[in-house]
Amino acid sequence: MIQLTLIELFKIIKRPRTYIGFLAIFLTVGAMQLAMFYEGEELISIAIQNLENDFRLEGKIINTNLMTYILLNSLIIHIPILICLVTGDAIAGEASSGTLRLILQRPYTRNQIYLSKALSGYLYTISLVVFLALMTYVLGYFLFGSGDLIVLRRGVTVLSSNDVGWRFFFAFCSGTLSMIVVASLSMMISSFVNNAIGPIVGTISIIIGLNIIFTLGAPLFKDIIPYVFTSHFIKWQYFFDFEIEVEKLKLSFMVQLGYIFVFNAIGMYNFNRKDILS
Amino acid sequence: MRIYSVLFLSVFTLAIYGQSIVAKNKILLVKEKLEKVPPYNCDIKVNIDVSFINIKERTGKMIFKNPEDIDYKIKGFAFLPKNEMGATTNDLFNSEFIAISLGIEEGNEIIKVIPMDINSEIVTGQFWIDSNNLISKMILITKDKGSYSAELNYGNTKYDLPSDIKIVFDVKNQKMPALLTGDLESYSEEIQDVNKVSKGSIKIKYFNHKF
Repeated sequence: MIQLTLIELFKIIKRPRTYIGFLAIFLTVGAMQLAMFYEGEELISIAIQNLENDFRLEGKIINTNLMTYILLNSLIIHIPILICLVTGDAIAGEASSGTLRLILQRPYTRNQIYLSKALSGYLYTISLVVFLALMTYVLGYFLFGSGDLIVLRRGVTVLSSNDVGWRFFFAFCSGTLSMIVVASLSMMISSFVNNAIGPIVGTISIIIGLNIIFTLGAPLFKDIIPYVFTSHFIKWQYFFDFEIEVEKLKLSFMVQLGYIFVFNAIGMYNFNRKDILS
Repeated sequence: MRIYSVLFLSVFTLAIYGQSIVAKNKILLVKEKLEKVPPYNCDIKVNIDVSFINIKERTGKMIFKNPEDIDYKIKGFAFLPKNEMGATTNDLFNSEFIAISLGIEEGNEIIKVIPMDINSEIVTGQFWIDSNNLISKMILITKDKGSYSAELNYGNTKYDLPSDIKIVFDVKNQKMPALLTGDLESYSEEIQDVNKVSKGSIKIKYFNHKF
């Protein structure tokens, strides 16, 4: 199994499209941080202009913690697209290029092959999120330095700079779990089709569609929203609350694990029954 | 009868005028005391109590040059009162004003101060002044920014500087756009009354004064 996973990882490393994600993060984070470096004060003052009417704000608002927090929001749409580029291609890509039949001739079960592809996809996902974390924090630190984090969520929460490290760690862990759900979904779709475009477009369409439906129709669907996987993409924000709602985070963790299990189970079931004709 | 009426009115007017002069002199004594304070710096602790703001106690330094020029060096980020009470009272006392004594309450003389300038930002102020000519409480009504009050306590600091101050002010509920904050879950929550005005307070403790 480890051997199979290493082989799959080797394939991921060899594919040029693997680096599109890292390049996109590098360019996006770099551009965003530079834009904030030059125009950040004006942009932030739009968000806090009401506060400035009532209070005298003392201290540096724009710092690496705020930049990392802002860029973590890219987990909602942008990072899933980059993940699908690789994980969506895992089975469908091999089916379209005709190499799937060759792999299945090896003395491994289809479940083992599916799981090794899923595991290597998860490792790619983790590396992408770690890269995002390093890029945002390190570049932000050099451009803006450290400082207290102001979170404009449910009012205004100000967290001391020495109180945010563990919050970011768990926030990135939570974000990684959400991205593993995305990877599992695209792997599952990948097992159904023979064209790599399908899983990528399909996964993104599902994510965007669910985000739009459950954001705009939030009052209508408020009872089922906690069980829709896209609603957990922003649960990392809970780690920046003054009083953390542990029960909600536990539920989020369980729901996402459930989705990972279900997506993989469906994908493996379908992969086991799939006729490999090409 | 007519003579009595005129006499009564004259005595009444003189009494009011006399009272106003005494109250104004008391305010001028307070002002004189405030003006005698030399530049200094001190350590501060700031605590804020506003319904929509979550922040722990902040510590830092206050550098006072004059009531119009006060600088803060806070460790991290802090919310401070928009208008310095010292600067506001200074503005009020330096303009032409009418002072009316409203009586004594718990050893403090209550004096209402009304600026003569119709365009003044402060509409009226009410001060509780103790026997040492120190302001122990004040309420200021402003034209645009609602009202705010302050309670001051004094320690044994030189120049009778306050050891702590509690400022209570009007503050509007804040609702940031979800697209700006990334809090997409707020769409499923009930919309709060954004324009509702509630009371907020900031407590500042001053210590380790260095003149």
